[in-house]
Amino acid sequence: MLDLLALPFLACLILTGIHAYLGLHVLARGVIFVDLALAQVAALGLTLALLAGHPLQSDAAWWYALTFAVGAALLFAVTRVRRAPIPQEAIIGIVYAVSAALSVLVVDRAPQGAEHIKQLLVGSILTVTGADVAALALLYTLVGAVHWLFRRPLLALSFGGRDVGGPRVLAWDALFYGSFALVVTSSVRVAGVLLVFSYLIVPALAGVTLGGSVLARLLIGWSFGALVSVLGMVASAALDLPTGATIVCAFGVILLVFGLGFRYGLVARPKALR
Amino acid sequence: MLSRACAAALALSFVLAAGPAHGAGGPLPIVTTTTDLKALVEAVGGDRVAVESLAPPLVDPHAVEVKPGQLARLRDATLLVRVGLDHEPWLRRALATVGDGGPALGGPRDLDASRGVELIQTETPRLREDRATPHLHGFGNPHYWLDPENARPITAAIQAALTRLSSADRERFEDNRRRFLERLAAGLARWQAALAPRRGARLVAMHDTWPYFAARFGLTIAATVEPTPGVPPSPAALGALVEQMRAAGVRVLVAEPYASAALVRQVADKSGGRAVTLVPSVGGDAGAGDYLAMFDLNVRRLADALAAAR
Repeated sequence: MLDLLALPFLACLILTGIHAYLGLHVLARGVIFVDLALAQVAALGLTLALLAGHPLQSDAAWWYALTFAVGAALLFAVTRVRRAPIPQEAIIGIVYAVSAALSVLVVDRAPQGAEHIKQLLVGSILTVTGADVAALALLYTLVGAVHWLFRRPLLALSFGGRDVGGPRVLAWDALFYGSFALVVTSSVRVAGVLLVFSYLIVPALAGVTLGGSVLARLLIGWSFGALVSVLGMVASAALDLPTGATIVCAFGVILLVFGLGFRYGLVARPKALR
Repeated sequence: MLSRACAAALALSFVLAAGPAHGAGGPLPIVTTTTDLKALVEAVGGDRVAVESLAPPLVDPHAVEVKPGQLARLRDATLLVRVGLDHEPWLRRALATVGDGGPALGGPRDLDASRGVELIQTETPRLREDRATPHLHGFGNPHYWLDPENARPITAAIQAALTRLSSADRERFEDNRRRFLERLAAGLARWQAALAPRRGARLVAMHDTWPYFAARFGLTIAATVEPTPGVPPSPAALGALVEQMRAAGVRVLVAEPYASAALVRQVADKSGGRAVTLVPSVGGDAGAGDYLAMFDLNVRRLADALAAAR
């Protein structure tokens, strides 16, 4: 059975790599649910592609999904710059609810096969293919390279400190949210909404709790994500449970164990929290 | 410490993965996509087969999530028996993951049970007549196992496939199937008799699950409440349906166990009709433990509901 888990495990490591990093941004910006909203908007794009007569597996459908997700990402970038008197989480929540409801209205008009969207949107990490893993690895290496290249303004925008100034903020925010939309749209297709959310938030949370610098947090997040991936995979194989859901629960359990460990002093409390 | 934990975990999973081997004399490992096909394979194969259904009963076929152990058993299966048509959108991916070691669609280890069955192109009158493109199953309605007569061609195909795998058991498979068909014939006589007084009765169904069942027993599905699964009807469509049910004297609403309880109650209350839950899959109810018991249960429930609603 081990060989059947090799590709899913590789996919989990790739997800850990990019999402633990993006999760640090997301936590620092306080836009926790942005990936759920973007995934839902991408699903709306897929539904509309179907209505326009494109098969769901086609490239055209993927471009629909990506275009919609990037559109929503730009909306998030603009609303941040405008400093509207409403919290950004409110806008994210509204985008989520309205795009989910719009999907229902559109599915109602779509010809046969519309319910297949659910299957496509909620990918299954266990049935990931070699081509999926290769495509993810290539895409996320490119996204990672772009973020490395422009790390100064991107990190400054998320973590505060240096002011990058004026109209450039919109451009950098658009780059951040745009690349984020690209990653979320691709990951959700492979791993499903729940698993992607977990990889985004939990390793980053562990990193923020235990580490000081961005690099330390990133290394802790990566280790945490890899550890949970291994434990989740093994539990899924040993207990014959659905793999994605088991990994999500493993994230919850391990986080709880660490939390209780700190609370009762069984694990050394990090300096930052003393 | 981390690497040690990983090593221990990997060693554990390796031990677990080894599992029992299927010797030459053991039962044939067979995988089906649904519990209904599992029941029919067991009826023919008896103790010469070890069958696993990948999907549990009553699960939305578009939401099936295969587990690691199931993938391993799919790869090792000597035969895969599936509903076919567009009923298993998840199967292609699972087979791709399993790779060359597993059954291939259309290959010698694949049995599409829909071959040999006369399919109904779902032309149930729609709730919304004005819709240009109503939801249709692209290849015909896939719920063909709900006509008990279709168990004959399905078990015939299963018997042929099992005999090909284990020719030494040819007579045993023949005997098993003959005994099953005798019980099926007795059941059919029983079910026909129970529903004969209700011949021509008109029903409304929550989903498009029952056309084969209705056709076998001379019943008519007058309309479907939720043509697209997961998309509730609009208030206007619901109103039209209730009016239609009242005008046509439709008094019974057929629901699946997974139908929205609130919607079922609403349609039943407003139309003055009676809701009855029929089980579309073996194992979907404690009283539907095998293929024949499922029909016993459904026929009894439906006959009771039609009698009470007169």
